[in-house]
Amino acid sequence: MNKEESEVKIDKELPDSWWYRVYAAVAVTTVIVIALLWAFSQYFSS
Amino acid sequence: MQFLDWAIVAAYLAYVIWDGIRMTKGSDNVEGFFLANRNLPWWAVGLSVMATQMSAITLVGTTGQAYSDGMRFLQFYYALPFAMIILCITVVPFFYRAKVFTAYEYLEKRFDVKTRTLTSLFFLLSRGLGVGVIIAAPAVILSIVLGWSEIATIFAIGLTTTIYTMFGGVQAVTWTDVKQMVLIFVGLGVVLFIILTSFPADVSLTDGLYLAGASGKLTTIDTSFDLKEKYTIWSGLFAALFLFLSYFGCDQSQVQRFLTAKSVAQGRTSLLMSAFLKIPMQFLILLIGVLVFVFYQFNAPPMIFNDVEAKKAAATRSVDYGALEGNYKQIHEQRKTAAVEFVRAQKETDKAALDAARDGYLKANKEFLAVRKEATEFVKTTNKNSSFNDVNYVFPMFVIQNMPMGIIGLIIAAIFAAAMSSISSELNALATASTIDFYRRHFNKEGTDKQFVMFGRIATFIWGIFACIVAIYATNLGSLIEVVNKFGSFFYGSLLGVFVLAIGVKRARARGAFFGLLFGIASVWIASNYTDIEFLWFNVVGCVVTVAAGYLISLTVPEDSK
Repeated sequence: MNKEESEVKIDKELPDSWWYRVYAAVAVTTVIVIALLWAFSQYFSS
Repeated sequence: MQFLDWAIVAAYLAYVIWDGIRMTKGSDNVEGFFLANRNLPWWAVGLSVMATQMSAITLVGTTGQAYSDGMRFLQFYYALPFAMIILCITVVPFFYRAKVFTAYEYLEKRFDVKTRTLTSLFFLLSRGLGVGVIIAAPAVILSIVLGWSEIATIFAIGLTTTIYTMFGGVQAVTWTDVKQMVLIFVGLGVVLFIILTSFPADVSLTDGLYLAGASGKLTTIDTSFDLKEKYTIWSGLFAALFLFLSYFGCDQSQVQRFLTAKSVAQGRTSLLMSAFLKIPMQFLILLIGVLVFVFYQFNAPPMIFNDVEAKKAAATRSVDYGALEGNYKQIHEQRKTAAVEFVRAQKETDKAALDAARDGYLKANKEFLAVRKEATEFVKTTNKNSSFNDVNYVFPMFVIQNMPMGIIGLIIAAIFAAAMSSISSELNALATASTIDFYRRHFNKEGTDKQFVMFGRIATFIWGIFACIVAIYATNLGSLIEVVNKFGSFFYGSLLGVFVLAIGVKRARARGAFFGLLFGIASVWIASNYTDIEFLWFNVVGCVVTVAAGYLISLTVPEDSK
């Protein structure tokens, strides 16, 4: 996708269902990041 | 600082002022000066959101905090992505579609002018003080590096930022934020690289992390539930959630960022960009602080990182100071030997030898910390400075004493950039609230665009001077990052409570919102004076009390009135 297409896509009022999928992805990624940080901490502290 | 370092810093300052002032052309009407004609792309807004939050305190205070306390502070940011999601669903579409200039303007549409004025006033008070603290952090560093007085340094930073913000408005703020973020990332990357190449030849990054881990510096999750404990997973996920909701959703310095976006979708995307990047970026900054700690296992750290206070104490009681320093160096050598032994044992398979080496290192580190504490107490009593704390001096002293020529200038410029990116956004927001919520609303309803823009420029200048004066008093308040958060926590929770009432409680009425806010602030005052709970929880207290009191008071108002 080129830059112009990307701009057009993001300017549209996207449906709520699309946004909820994005929010779910952000939440899941955050949980994974926190879990990885915990694993990092445990690995080097043991 | 060599000539090359000075040249880099001077070039940065000259460029940023020129870059900001040339935006004046697009800022001659109200919408252009305060909201960039609502036409900025999401990635610029997203970087501006991050730059506004990341002040010089983040670079200087957080790295110092990681050096002394480890990565526990990272927990503070765990709730940020969740706060961003909630804000994307709630306030972003509300504010954007209401076509407001300030968050508080929306409160008049929903409640009344009294509530709008009070919340805007609280914003001006808390943010006006907060921006002073944000100027103080780089001033502390530069006063050591340049040998200038703190007052001269404060005005040099504060006035430089005020000039380009005053002329270029929000467009100057946003586009300089973007370039400043790039400079900060480059600076951080270079520091990380140089620290890693400064370890002894037989010590790898992994070895360093094992040392840091053994010393408790890599704790990223603390599950203990204690309201008196500053950074735990619970304060990070719940108390900080309230702080972030309030800061990003109700504080004009952040709300104004996403109001400049082209559309609701672009506003949302800019916040989600910050949600994705904030934790990894903060991890990187804290990691630098931890690696500075590892570096100083093999290289003697200054006994006192604040050079001015150290010299003062040494001049007053030279014999005692000399004896303490001699002991400190000896203990450092013992710790260094123990650290080398621990690193060597890590590479072997003998579990008993590893445990013994680890215990030996921990014992040596404990003795080292005891001597450092003794030295800190010595400076406190000798200089009669009970609030003395050199945590904010760790990173700048490390840079000055260990970075090569040119890189020092780059890091100082990056610290300048971090400071200016926050200061400019906040001065711009303070000017916006002063102009829109007070001047235009109460004193000149029929004014022209030219008058409002002129008033906005004058307000920016006045707030810049006010912030400089506050900064003069803020330089000796302990860990600066906590001071800023404490300032915020006094008002933020209650402010959030008013917006919860406005957006989420249909039955809420103007009287309830107004008095609920006052009850909320009073409850935080009581909590701070009569309990031991940590300041992050003040946000929860303020919000809950405001919503509860606001709702109950609203029930006393007829349902069909506003």
